Amino acid sequence: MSTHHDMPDDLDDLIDDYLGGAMDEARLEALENRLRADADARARFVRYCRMHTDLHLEARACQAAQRAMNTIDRLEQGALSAAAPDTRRARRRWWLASAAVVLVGLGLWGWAASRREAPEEPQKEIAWLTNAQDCHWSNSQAPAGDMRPGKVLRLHSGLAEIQFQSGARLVLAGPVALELVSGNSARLLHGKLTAQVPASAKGFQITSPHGKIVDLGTEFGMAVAADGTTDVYVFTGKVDAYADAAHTPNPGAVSVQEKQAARIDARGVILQAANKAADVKEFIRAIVPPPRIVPRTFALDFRQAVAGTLTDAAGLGTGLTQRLPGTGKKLRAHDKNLRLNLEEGRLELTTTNTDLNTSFRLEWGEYLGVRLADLGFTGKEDFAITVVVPDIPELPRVGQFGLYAGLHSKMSIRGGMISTKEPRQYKQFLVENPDGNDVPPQYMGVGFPGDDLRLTLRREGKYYTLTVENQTTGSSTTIRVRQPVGLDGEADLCVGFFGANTQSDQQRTLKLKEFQVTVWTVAGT
Amino acid sequence: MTDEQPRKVEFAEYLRQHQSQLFGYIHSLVRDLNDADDVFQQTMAVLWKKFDDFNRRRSFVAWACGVARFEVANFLRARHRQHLYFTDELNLLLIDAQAELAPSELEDRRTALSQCVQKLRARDRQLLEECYGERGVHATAERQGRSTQSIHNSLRRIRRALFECIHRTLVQEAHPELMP
Repeated sequence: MSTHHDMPDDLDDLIDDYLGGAMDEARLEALENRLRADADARARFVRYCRMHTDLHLEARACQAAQRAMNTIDRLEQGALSAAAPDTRRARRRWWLASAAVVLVGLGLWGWAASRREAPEEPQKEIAWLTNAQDCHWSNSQAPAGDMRPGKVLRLHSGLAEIQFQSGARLVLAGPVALELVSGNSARLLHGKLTAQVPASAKGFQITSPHGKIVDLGTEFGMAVAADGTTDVYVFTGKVDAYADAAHTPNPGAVSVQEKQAARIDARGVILQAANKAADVKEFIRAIVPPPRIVPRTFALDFRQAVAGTLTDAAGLGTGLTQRLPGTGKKLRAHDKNLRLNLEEGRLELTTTNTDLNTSFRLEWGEYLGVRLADLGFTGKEDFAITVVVPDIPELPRVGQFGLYAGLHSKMSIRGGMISTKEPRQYKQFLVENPDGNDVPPQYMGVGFPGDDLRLTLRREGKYYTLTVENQTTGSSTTIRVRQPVGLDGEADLCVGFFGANTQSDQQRTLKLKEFQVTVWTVAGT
Repeated sequence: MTDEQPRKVEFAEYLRQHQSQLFGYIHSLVRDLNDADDVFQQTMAVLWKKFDDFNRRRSFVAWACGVARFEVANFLRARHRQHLYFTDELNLLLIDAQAELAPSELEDRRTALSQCVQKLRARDRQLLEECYGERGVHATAERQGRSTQSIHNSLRRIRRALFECIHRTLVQEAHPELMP
């Protein structure tokens, strides 16, 4: 072979620079000359480049596989509900995808190799994990894509539900060990399970160290003790219980009827008195999930126009879908006070002379946002709205901007910064507006034109808080008030931001960035 | 329409056998994985269009690389990188070198590479994974607080070691009696 390893180093240097992209014309020419003159150099070049390609492909494959596994793990732990899988890389062309499939088995970085079992003869999966709660698997390995005949599931603690090809479903309660045998049978090595067997899976079998249970369309619980003693209890329908001929002089089927219990041990199958109600209760028949809080987030970075939403002066969709009812009626469809600045990733909002307090000129009011119900809000959930406002402008006295939540212009809560009678100075405020008029506001903190602020309006239980993080000074201040009675339990809230040069005609422009709304919904309700 | 299917099957079979060589050739010229992917797609489309012209007695790799060469040139020209591009003469020589690289050797080299990576120090393996993965050299340098040059130097050392190791592995497999 011509790829001798005693090539002069300068050729390798040239190739390496070429691959690293750190090459000027003179060096490229030097490389060109070397390669043209020497077939061995060319042979070395193509092999060196090939290694470079393989390293790239393998790293990609590895990371793609890792991401996929992470997604699967999250799914199995139930942490992922409505969230989309990781789609950071949109460029998934078929070449890279197929390269990943080919190369992942090689496992250059060892990760894929550790997951691999018997490499050849890929058998089909015969069962699937369908539900899991607080599961701790042995070796921290949840079954994933490998539920083939012979696979032993070892669950230290937690509940797992698996479904067989035939449709039979098992709920495993850890500690338990179950070996998959076929699409309609399994072996319980030790521990407890319950089985629900639809008519389609009639004949479903579970063997145990001392015998087996054959289901005849039913629901039953089964437990195998450390010494192999097997207990079965039939919730509905009936099963046949067999003792293993090798262990007992009395093999043969014993029919176990609804609400009957039986024990299989060295003596054979023995029907039990049905007074062991305490044991029966220990069988877990279904996985009932605890209430799960799932944050649902709506975020706008103002880096792209969103069709079908409120439009700016140029007709670009801002991504915002709502105005606080009772505001902005006279503003044009292409609102000349709005400018979506895609390059900077911000929405520029020019204030108008309006005020929620006393409902002053609200038909011109800029109170923009979204409906919380679109994020699954039903009136009970906690939520938070955040916006970043860099380089805040100087509004004349009583001029104000910030965040709001409300039913309409006469029932809301709002907070942010309000210009004080001191020139060039803001105070932080939070105020309830129960009937078109403000109650006395809460004031705190201080801010100045030019500051960079991040505002958060949050509802937690019965309280609203407004937090202003001043990124210029590094300080953070929070005002907290009880939830206004008029907002309690209301489902149709509109939330967002506002800007108003109240009691002045000097309009100013706010730069709004990174708008985000999160609702902490309770899953399954 | 009905005679389209066998042609497609034949084309797919050629590709299956040689896609790795073709992709490697393109990658060696454009040097960026995503760019290589783009050019590969483009080349495939042209190959399929010209498949009737392909002389079945010739080497598919040589023919496909010849087509790819023009696609690469177009691509680099569009990116204003034409000045960092080999001459046509060298390109033809490189296609020959590429065609001599048999799929079985590629396979052996890849397997050997896999073993060799395992022998690296953990730190080096990590660096490879980061730089060759989605993070890339620049972001890795930033994350580690090192200069890009210093990362390139490390990568150069690692690549040398790997190339050397592949060579040794293949020799050892071919002539186990020669090794201590």
